[in-house]
Amino acid sequence: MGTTVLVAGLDATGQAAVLGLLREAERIFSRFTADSDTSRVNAAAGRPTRVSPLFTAALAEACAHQAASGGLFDPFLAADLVRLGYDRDFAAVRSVPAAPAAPPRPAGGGAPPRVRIDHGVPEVALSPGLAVDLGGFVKGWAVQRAAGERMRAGAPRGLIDAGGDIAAWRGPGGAPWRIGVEHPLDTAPAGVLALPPVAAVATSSVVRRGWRDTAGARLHHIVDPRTGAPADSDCLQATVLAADLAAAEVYATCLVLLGTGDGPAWLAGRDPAAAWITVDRDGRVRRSADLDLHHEGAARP
Amino acid sequence: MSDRSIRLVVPLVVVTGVAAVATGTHALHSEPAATAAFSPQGAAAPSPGPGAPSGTASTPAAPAAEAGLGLVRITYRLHRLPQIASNQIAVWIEDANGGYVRTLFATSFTANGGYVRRPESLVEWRTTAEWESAPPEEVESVSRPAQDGGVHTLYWDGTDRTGRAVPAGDYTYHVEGNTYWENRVLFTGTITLGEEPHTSSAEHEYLPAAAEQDGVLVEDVTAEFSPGEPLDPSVLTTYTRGS
Repeated sequence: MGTTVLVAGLDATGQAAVLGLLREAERIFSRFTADSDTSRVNAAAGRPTRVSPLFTAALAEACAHQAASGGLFDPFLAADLVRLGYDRDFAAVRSVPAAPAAPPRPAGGGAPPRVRIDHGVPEVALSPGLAVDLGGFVKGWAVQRAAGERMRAGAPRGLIDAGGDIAAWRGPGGAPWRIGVEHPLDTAPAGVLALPPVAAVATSSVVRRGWRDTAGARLHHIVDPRTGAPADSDCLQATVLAADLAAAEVYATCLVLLGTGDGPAWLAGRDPAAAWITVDRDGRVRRSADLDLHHEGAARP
Repeated sequence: MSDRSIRLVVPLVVVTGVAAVATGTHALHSEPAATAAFSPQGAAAPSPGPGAPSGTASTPAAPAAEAGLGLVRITYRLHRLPQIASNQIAVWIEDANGGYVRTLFATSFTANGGYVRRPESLVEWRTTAEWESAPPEEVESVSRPAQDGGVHTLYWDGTDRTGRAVPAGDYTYHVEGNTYWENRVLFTGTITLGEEPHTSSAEHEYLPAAAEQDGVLVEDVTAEFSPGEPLDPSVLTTYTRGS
């Protein structure tokens, strides 16, 4: 997942369980190891591929988000990322040759990708040419799953942070977890949130995981499925506070794709309870009105 | 998700500009200067509390961790060496008698059994910690991928490998790093846990002395003890950010 993890509030057994699950997710979902489920499914050229139950579960949920978002969230952009040069661990991505233009997208999005998921075997088959990349989605999905397991195991309080995607919980009387929302253009945070008892916070940004091609064009990892090119809205960064981290991850990505004008209205239609903070290219911070419930103003000096 | 993401392996870790709270061993990493401008460190300086419970206990049956005497912050500057068979480091604590207390950090290759293929890796730490017989939970809780260059901070909450608070007194902190195959650098410093704050700097030696020619892997190793205070819930735990 190319990120770091903070686990707080859990005992050693809980820590090991969380990290074990995340490690398992890494093994299953990596695009960059040949024996991962992702790589094997993508290399199968349409043939059914045996995968782990975690893979079918995550893929099914990602597909559900794809359908619910009308394709705005797309877990099948692996080929676009490779075309753009993100074909290896991000730490190894350097200046790449100018990427060829994306193949034209069919009007109306074309035929939906054919994905067959058999949870019983379990196995997955993608239509030939289709390549899955659950990338940031599965990071949030796995963290949410790990948090759910710890909550069910009776952990009264905990926080799991995988590279800024955060799931946190506490008892109703417990002190809230406080997290900052990093500002991509400023050293002061874009906000400080005192999290509700059960919360998930995800942030998508075009500032991180960026690189340049040899023509000098700046590229980044958030691809717009409508164009096959890196997102180019006015939104540099979007943070979403929701009940589920996988959903928050999807919503944050869609806000970046749609921009600060259309994004919030879209999100209100998808999940009225979700709160958000966006930062545009000028550094301006906007946030949903209901976020005031959690917003604590600026970080303490 | 590549090998780099094995940062996930880490128990309690490493977020830029994060205040340390809530639990045992934290490792904080200051981004290299090139990216520091975007980090919020200045806005939310770490304000370490004593660390509530839950250190990285060594077995699933370990008792709940006790509140330690306070928080020890160990800071070092890491440089990534460009050669093979290097960049393995471990950071650990011993008591005044040289008894092993706990490990705060160990590079995952060595911590997870890389010493079988490379027995010269982190010899001092492995011997002291009897790492070959460490329980899986302890291995998982301290093993981390090789860190990026930059200033790193580890927090020790004053508990031992089983999560029990250690008594007041002098403790030795060590940072060992392989610079090239069997060549190593070893930092050693003493920090006093008690009712008063204490700071110290570690001395280093190259093993053998010629290892100094391999380049600087670690430098500026310091420790700072802050006597215990109630955990301040207003402290920021972490930051959400794009990833």
